[in-house]
Amino acid sequence: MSNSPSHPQFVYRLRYSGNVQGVGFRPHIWREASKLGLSGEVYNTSEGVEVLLRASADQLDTLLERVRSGLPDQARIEECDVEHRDQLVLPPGFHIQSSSELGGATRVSPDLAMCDHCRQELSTPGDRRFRYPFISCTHCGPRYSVVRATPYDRERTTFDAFPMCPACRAEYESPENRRFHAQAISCPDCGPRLWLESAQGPVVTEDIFAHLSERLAAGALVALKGWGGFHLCCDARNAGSIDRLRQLKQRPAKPLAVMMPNLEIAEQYVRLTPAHQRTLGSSQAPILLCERKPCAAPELPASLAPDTDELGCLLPYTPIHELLMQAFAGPLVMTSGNLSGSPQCIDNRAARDLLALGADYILLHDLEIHNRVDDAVVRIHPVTDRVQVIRPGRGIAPVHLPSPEGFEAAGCLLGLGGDLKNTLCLSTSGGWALSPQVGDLAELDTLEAHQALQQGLSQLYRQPVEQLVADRHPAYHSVQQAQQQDLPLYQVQHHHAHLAACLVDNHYPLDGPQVLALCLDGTGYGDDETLWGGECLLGDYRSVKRLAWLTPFHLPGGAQAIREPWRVLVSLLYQAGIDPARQTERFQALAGKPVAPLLKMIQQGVNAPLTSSMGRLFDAVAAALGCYPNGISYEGQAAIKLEHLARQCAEPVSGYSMRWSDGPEGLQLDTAPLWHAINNDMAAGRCVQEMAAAFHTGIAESLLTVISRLRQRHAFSTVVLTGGSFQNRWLLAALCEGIERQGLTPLSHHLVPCNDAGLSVGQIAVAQARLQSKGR
Amino acid sequence: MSQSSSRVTLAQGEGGLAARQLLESVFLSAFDCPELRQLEDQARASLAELSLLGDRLAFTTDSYVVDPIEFPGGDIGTLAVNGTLNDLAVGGAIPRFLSCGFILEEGLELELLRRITRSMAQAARAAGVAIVTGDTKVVPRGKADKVFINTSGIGIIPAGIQMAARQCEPGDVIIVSGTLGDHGAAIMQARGDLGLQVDIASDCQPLHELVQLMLTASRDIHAMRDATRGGLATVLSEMAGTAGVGFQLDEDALPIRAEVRGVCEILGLDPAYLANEGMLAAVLPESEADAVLAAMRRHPAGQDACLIGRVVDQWPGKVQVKSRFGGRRLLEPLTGAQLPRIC
Ligand SMILES: [Fe+3]
Ligand SMILES: [Mg+2]
Ligand SMILES: [Zn+2]
Ligand SMILES: [Zn+2]
Repeated sequence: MSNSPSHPQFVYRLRYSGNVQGVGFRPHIWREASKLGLSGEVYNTSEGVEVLLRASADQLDTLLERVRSGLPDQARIEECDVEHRDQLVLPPGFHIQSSSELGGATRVSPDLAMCDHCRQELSTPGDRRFRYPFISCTHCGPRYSVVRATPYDRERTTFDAFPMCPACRAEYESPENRRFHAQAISCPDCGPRLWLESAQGPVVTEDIFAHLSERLAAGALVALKGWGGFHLCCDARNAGSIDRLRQLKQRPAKPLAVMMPNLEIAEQYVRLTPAHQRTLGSSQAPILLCERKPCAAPELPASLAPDTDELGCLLPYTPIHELLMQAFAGPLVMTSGNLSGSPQCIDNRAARDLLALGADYILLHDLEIHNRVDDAVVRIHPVTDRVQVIRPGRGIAPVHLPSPEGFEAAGCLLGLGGDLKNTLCLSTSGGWALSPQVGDLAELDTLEAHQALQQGLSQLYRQPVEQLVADRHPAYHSVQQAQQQDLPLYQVQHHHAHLAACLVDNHYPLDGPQVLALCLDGTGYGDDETLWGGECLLGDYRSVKRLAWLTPFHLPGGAQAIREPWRVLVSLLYQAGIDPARQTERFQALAGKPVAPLLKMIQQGVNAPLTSSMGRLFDAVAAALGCYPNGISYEGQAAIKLEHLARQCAEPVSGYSMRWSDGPEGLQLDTAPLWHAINNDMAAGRCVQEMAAAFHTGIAESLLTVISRLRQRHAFSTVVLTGGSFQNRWLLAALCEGIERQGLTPLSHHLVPCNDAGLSVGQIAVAQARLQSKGR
Repeated sequence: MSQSSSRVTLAQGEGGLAARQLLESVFLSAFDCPELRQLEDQARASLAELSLLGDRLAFTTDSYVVDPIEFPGGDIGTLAVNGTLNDLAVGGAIPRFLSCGFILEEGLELELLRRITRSMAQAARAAGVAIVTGDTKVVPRGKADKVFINTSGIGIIPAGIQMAARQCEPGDVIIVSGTLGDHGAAIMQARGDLGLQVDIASDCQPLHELVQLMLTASRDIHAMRDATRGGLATVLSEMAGTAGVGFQLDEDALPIRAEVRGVCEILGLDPAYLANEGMLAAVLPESEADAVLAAMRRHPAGQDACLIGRVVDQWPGKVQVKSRFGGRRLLEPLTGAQLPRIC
């Protein structure tokens, strides 16, 4: 290649979009362009990265190829747009310019777990950053949690409070350096400071991590400031500390995540397939739900996750965690540092409240966390072996989703999500961005965080929101707040949003053929003003038709019936023609309960709303088997326990049968036969593990039956599996496999959660699909 | 006495002799007072006498339908008197006169009607007001449910008393005169068909004496409401909305009878949304609270008076409840059917 006149040079403009900011993409371009001796410049824009360069056509091709093939680990190119520009004069040499201010949107990278280079330097004596708790580089470090606005440049992050020292500046400006334009660059001379406090004030110690590790081993509770917020941690082997931590958080039973020092130690406690190992060690470093080894030695207290065979594990992802883990060398409970229901603390002042409430130490630093982000929770899909996001969070969120084929860039829509597991989703010109999970909006702190995030996302992506999209539930806080805003509000039915979320997750085109969707969850507001939750919907992004559902039953006491599954048992037994008042000995959960008034409430319609919820059916069966006679303490607890019981059943059992009956409006699943079978089995003293398995099998078979029946009347070849009930691995696996056996294609969730955390994505998809077809 | 003469007939609603009989045998005998004895088309009152009590007239009306008609702690009659009295009372007015209109269902037992009118008369006498005018209509069976009552009331507001929701401001405190939801819970369990075996009486009672005691303790009470339909939550939401300020309640401070709590737990209802018929909420500067509470506790209707929260800047127009563990949630006004939000 040469610059001879036979190869005339032109000026080109390249525009890259995708995950190209904060991931070492500009230095990569710089290196490749410099190697080719090209002159030009590269800079971040709010849409991505732009390159202006002078090159021959051949040189351009070579550059494009090299850029693509040698991408930095975290970089992803979605589109590269090349444009000819004649008149531009470029100065000699190739330069990285600070960012250009343009309209439009760019991506905000999630925080990236510490890379191997940095881990190496962290433990190399003599390195400038030996044991430096804020070490990072262009391949790793905080991103979303510290960024105030895009484009992602140091002055728009909370690192702007730490002016670079000359040594860091030199690295930052040296294109050959791994920290070239690393926006979060810092060192012990110029970076954030770490310190330890107890209720008595600052703790002076030579080695904070050695001291903490000693205290943790002695049973201490520690609040620890990381990147996206505070963790509460304690020795995962110490049942007493776990009890204290549960007391402090007012969280009696919900599973606690455990940080393992490394994969080898993790393997002592949980089963790790290659997919598990890859996921734990990835730059996303999520909390991964793993199966506990049944008789692991050493053993962890059952109180970590009393209801399930799974344990949420994660590896250290910040240098702070790494240093602590090196010192402690054992598993640590690592749960978000918040009080029950409230969002995780992110500022030092609020974290000191945790001391007052019983934490022994808090490990603080003076780097401001701008965006709160809890650790992501994921699982390996039982059938596809791919990562399945259960809670979008640190490492994964914001989740950037390309809008599926057929969706045109419309105005900026903001999906407000559901009231539980709330997330937001913003539509930008380049696609959709799903926020980290905010939490339960019934808690006012969380509702405030939800509102702040509405502003924050819009600012971060520089998109003024034009339209809000929410659920149809009139009592949802998200809906009531939206109605008070001065923006048009579009409302989408809960299960239609679940369906659309799954379609988006699977890149299903806007004009793709209609699908059948099994929407199984707790409860969502239905079009007939009852609570839906066990629905077969036929349709697409634009509209759905309800074809089949669970025969509606009453929830005596409304929300109280969700907290107390035995109430639902009363209702379903009654519906099946079994008098629950006479069965209080057979069903221990009913012993001493006000069964008679509940029956009257059902008969007279006093605060006993109707529901077709699958989640509540699971609750009732769990109650029948004796689980949680005093109510549950976290959402989904009874269903999680029921699956756990089913998995303990060693032998395959035949499923309880249920009956689909044809009604004028659609098919309804009558669960009466199930209840008679359970009633008989209880009388016969059958073991609960077998009964739980028979229920799971029976439900899966009933759902497969209805799919084949509906197929005879309606055209579809794809079956969507969506809604929170599909967090049940047994149900998910049985249906995926059964649907394939019928020659149909199952679609399930991966990047977008199947639970209500995915609703905001589906809301946007439905709203935009309808707006688009209106425009035509 | 024949079966028919023990029951209300359509003829008694059509004027004439039958109507006259009903009037005399039931209403006049119960409500006897000089104004009523005139049997004119209207009651007349001396302005000179009224103006001795204050400088403004307060006037209100309300209609009463309740099932069951009689319940522990009262009946539709006491409710019709005290409800309207309390609407006057919480404006600071001294109630003077009531009117009452009856809509009776054909076939209503006369004895029941007598009991109701007697308890109305008793309630009025106890409160020191007169029922000075009234009306009765009878509708065919099924067009009404036994008996509906409308009452209107006139009272006088003493000079210098100025209570209004818009006067609530951050820094104020919120007090209540009694326990939450007693009336609503009493009605629930009196509907016997729910089979709740609890002993709860309605708090149905007049509040004007209590209010006057409070105003004697402090003239600086900013606003007052009686917590009737929709309960404390609804009434406070309305006040917060009018004033454009936030109300923050302390969950542990809310006075709730154990029996009411028990019934609410079974039914899955929040006592803050259950009706009271003799309980008020007042908003006043913190500096006045002790004196006012002390005065309230000297009156039988204020035995359980206590401070439940304060007026804040955040969440204007909304009522929030702070739990023991520091969590806060909103008490939104009711939106039709109460469907759980939990997925
Ligand atoms: Fe849902
Ligand atoms: Mg009233
Ligand atoms: Zn690194
Ligand atoms: Zn430095």
